[in-house]
Amino acid sequence: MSDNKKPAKITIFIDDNPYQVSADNNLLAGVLSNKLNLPYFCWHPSMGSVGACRQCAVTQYQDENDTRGRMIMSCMTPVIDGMRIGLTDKASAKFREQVIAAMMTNHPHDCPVCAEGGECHLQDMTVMTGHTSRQYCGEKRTFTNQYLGELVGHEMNRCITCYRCVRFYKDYAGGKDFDVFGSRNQVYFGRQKDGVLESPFSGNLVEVCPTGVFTNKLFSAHYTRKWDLQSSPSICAHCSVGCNTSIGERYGSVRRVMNRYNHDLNGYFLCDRGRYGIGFVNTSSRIRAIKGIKTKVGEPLAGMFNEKSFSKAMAEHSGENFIGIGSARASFEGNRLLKYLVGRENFSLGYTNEEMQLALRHKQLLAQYPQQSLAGMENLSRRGHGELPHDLVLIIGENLEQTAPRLALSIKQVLRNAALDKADSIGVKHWQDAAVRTYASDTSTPLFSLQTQNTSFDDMANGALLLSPEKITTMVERLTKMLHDDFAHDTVVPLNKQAAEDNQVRQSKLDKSSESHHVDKNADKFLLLLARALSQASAPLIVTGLSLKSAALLSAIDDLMACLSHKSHRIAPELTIVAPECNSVGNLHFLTEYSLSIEQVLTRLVSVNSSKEASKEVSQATSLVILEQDLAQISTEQLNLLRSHCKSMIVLDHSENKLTQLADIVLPVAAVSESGGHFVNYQSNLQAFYPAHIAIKPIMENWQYLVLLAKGLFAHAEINFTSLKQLYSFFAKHGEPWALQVLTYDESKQQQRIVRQTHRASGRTAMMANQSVHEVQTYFEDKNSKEEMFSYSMEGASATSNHNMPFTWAPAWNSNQAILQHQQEVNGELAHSQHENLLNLNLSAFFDETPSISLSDKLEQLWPNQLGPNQLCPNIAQQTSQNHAVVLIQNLPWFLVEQQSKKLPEFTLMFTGNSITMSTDLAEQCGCNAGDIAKLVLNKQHFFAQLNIDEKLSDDVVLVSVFELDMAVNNCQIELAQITKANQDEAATHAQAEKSRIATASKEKADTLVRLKAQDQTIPISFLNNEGEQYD
Amino acid sequence: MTDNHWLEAALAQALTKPLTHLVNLEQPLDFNSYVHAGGYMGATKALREFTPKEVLALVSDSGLKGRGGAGFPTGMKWSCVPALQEKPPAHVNTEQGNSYLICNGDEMEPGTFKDRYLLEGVPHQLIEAMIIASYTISANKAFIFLRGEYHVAAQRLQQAIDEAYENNWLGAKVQGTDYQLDLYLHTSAGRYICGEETALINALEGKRAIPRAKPPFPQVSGLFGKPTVVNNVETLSNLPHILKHGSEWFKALSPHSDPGTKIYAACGQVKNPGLWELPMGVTIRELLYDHAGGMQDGLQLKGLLPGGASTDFLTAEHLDTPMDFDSIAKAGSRLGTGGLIVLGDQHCPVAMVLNLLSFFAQESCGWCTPCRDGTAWAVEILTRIEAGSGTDADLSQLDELCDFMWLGKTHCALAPGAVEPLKSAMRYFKTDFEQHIEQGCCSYKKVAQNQLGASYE
Repeated sequence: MSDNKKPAKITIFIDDNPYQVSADNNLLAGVLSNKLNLPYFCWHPSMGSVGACRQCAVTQYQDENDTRGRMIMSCMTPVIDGMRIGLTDKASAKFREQVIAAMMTNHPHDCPVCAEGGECHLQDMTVMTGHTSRQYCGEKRTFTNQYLGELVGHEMNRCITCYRCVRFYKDYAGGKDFDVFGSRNQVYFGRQKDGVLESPFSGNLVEVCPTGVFTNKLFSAHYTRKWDLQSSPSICAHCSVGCNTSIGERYGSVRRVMNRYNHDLNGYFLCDRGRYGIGFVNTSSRIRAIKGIKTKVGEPLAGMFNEKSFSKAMAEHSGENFIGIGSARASFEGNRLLKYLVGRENFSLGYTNEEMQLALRHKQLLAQYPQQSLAGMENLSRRGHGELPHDLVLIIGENLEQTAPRLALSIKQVLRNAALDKADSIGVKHWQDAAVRTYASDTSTPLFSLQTQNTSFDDMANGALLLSPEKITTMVERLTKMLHDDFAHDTVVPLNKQAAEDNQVRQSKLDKSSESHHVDKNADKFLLLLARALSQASAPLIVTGLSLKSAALLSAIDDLMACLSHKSHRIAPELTIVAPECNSVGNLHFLTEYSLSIEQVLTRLVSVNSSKEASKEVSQATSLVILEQDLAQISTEQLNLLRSHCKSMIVLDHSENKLTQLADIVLPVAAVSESGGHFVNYQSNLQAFYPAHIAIKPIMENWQYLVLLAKGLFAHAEINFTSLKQLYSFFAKHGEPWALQVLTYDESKQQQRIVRQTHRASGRTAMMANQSVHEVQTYFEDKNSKEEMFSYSMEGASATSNHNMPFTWAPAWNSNQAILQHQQEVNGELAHSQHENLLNLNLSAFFDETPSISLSDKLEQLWPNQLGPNQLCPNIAQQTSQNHAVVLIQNLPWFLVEQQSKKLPEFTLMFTGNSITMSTDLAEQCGCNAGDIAKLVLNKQHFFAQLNIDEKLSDDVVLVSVFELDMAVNNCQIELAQITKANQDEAATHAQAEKSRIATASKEKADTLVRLKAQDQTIPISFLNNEGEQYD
Repeated sequence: MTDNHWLEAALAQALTKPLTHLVNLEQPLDFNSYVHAGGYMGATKALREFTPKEVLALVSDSGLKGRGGAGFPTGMKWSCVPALQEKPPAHVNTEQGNSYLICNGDEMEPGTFKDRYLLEGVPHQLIEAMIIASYTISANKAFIFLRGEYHVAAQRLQQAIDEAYENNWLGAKVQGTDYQLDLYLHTSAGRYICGEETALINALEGKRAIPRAKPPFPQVSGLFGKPTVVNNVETLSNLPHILKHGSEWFKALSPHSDPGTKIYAACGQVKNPGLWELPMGVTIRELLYDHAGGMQDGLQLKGLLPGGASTDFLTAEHLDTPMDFDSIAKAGSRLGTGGLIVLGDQHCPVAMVLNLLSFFAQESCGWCTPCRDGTAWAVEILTRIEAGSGTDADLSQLDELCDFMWLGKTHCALAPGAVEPLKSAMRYFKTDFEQHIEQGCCSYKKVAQNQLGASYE
């Protein structure tokens, strides 16, 4: 997807030597793009220039004969062909040192105890300017720090007042609860008063701050220096965007996640779920032992892994016939292997019939509409090079800040397109951040939003409607019809006053049509406004997702896209679909007409039990192998049904859930930080992640366990891989294009293995100095990882020699700003360029074979959903009389919507309590007032929550934000009668439960820290060798 | 108070002291009296007889320079407003506000009080001036950004504005033309930096009072991103008279210097502090001795700041320098606001500089490093020197700081303004600084203490 059109280059002279720089960026970016060392603070490659810190001063000369020159701030200076500047001249070098000296008047000398030490941009810049001694003799200014929540630490005394934090939090990310206060040398960055930072992007403050004012609290609590971390390139597993991350580990525990620059996707920023969510791998919810297999002496097979005992235990099940259930959070490889082992007729993705249909629609849309990268959306690769930036955004039925926060952040930048265009009109460059924001502060790209719930985009929207999922679909259909009619009659929706009459005619038509739809006048206004805006737009961006689980909505959006895309309209719409989980799109690859829905799995299991006359094929299925799957969309009752009908249930997972409780055998697989593989993001981009360390057996990577099962259960002798590379070769030999693709993608890189450890590890005899000073034979090395691209060592190719960088570093640049040294040019692609590795989603099975049948009919044939959307899962509705039916919409905050990261105790502590939100009318019908404790009855389970009123909500929608409700209830119909006011006892119990949830989380947080710190001190050297059997 | 006698005397000076001849501090002229005294004639002329472009040409031709301190030619400033160049209509289109006029009345420069005199003494003159300026730059909305402490001025201005509305000089269809102008009075929350025009604009928008980076200049992207002209009170007050009497008259007011008159002031250790409207270019000597009555008894002139706190010291050797932009610049300082701050020889120049630097450090907006940390650092050093615990290294560090905070290195002119008195004091009063360090105390205080001590003993 990368753009071949390179921006225009011009020549400038730096210290009399010619250099090529981009004409459309500033001088500082030009200098840095040439990998010259010029210090800076307030400028940020993505946020542009404001000229506050004065650190990047250089001398500009008129011509060759000018020896005096004048001082300029390079970040505020556009480049001009032939311009001459001095970087090493005395005047500017001295001034740059003076700037550091001035900052040091107040910066404390606490580097040895500062969490930023060793990766501090201020340290780097101080050294770079040569400032080595302090002249200031006065007292230093001191501040009171604030409590900013569980995630971000605050140490204001270290502040050098570069304003980057507030520019990121407020200007870039749209946060409202963080600001700059005071003046002179008492400028304070923080909140108006202590309190939890509201933005889901607050963790970026840690990376944006050039020094240690904002720190990662979880990292600080269990701290290690950057140079002691062993790191690997990883992919965030907490949503479908697939942000590139770098995971840092020491002494067997994950310490932190940092942003890993990917030009096309996350750029410089992560969301907090991605940054902090990884902490779940350290919690007590992890499964660290095999459950359900006994050794000879009757002990559980815990601790060391013993392959003999394991094989013996597996042999007991070898006569059974297995159905495999994969998942959207397991790696692509894990799913592929499982499907191979059980065969395509016995493979399920863990979807219900309804979800199968939805997934197929999703697959169809992906095949039809290539998905833009985030950079593509933001037009980062194209700005100034001719292509049109998005001039309208329409978000339909997806609360982006919950389901794909990083994408929401990009949409916020898309909304600035109009402002940037306006700035163009007076020649203000896009990097002149303050000037653009001043000049075009009131200008925003048109935004429309059709949602079930309030979102953070509502304030910015030209039109925002809250409706039930069904009505959203109707709205999209009506919109398409309006546009279609307009286009057909070649009457572009009227823009001026004279056409207002036409409008009224149309309005009356709509009024008639809306009688049946029962859509109020607001909706009509919204539609007219939107249709007009769409017909004026040249590159609208439509963003939706699968949250509402509505195949009808996807198909309506398909029609809308088709209508807009029609050649004659000169509109180039783009569609972005947020997928539910990190590998949902990867799963679509395995979705065939043979794939089993959960209902079909259940049917097969039941038929074995109840009738022996069932067909051969079906009667053979007796047991389940379940890979990293929660089956969260079906109720406990139904899970029990599933369990009771299968002979054996073997679950592979890394954390406890309902299924691991029910399983006969639980095999502890490695979490994302301990394993390798690929996730396929929303764009269908296959992205590789690599283990940061190898977990202690019996925890093993999912494919390793599946290889063992291949031997023990399935008699697949050919499956004997000891590395992922062998797995790829195997499937490549079987003619699977993705495997070939992955192999070639890897082969294009150099042969020498890349280091995971820093140069400091060259003193490796001291790496375990807390216990022993001796040579630990290449830490964590084992035969499996020899074919991996990365080594558990500091020996090998540099960490930055590949686009998958385990960590970022460059000589003189120890902070994350080192990334600029590895980009082709500032904000460009990495020097060792990356390109998207798109998975080809083949739809032929659905379209070619039976063209006579419509897709929906075919889908209905394959995965019949005739019982309505709530056939299996939300049999939640107790009665079927649809008199007071309302739709439940999941409304948990961003840190609780994803199952894995939800286990982080810090996230639980951030939750302010259960709530149910509805309109006044509904509340009255429930007999509740705002503030009451409401009782929600689902599947015989009781949930309690505080009732909130939101007048804007649609009258048939109820928002639920209930911590304990771990079923996927989005877009499920219930009877309003299922919500009642709780009695006093129940309310008291609820209050108690809320308290105890906090207490439990606090305890979990404290215990985890104690356990990890103990582990640091006692981790046996032998464990590191990872050859467990030899030490039995 | 507007008895004929007073008016007669005032009008007699109309052509020589155009700015101040109608000033009445006790009771400024109300609308009718102001009109009776010839007020609003300039505005009438502009609206009825001139296109905006013609007003601009007239003002450019008059050579009027900004009186806020920088001395930038007013006509040139106005001509940068884009709408002017594109469409110079006879009658300004009033449908949409294309641009804004702001009167900078945030007079906070230490030792400067000339604007206050005009604001309290003849508010209608400013309103008339703003009508002319707004008309010229096609502004339909104008603002007076007033120093918060000027509450008398605020009262009188608001009253004058109300009167102007009542008499159709403000609001829709000004004086029957198509032109519409709304004028708002905004009183500042009180920061020195608000005197910087872009910081003022930010403050007016409700943002932090931080100067903006230029370009873009306010004439292109100013208040709320719209073209905006910011002019000083005194600058604007010249307009009615230029309209009324023409540019030739204006230039003839001061044939050997910058055109027009200037309100000069003197404060500090002079006999007769005050302010006087004089032809541009009177010498410092004339101002100090003829008008301000010379030094207080027993004092010799040690040094003076010619145009407010942020200008370089001049000394007795510069007494014959004419007080205009170029001459003062040649002498090594700036005309600034034209308000002398005079230091006698019995008072410590180090203490005076410390006082000034403390002010600047306090008023630094905190945006750029040299100003934010440099001014505070200078205060720290000066405090120690004044207290007698300074070292030679401190003097070289002060030199370094003067260099560090100089023009071109900072985000705006505040820190360079702070450097001006410091750097010049270190040049002219070097021995005083050195004595503080050598003797470990302030010799001026020692004298004072000795005297005190003697009387107590």
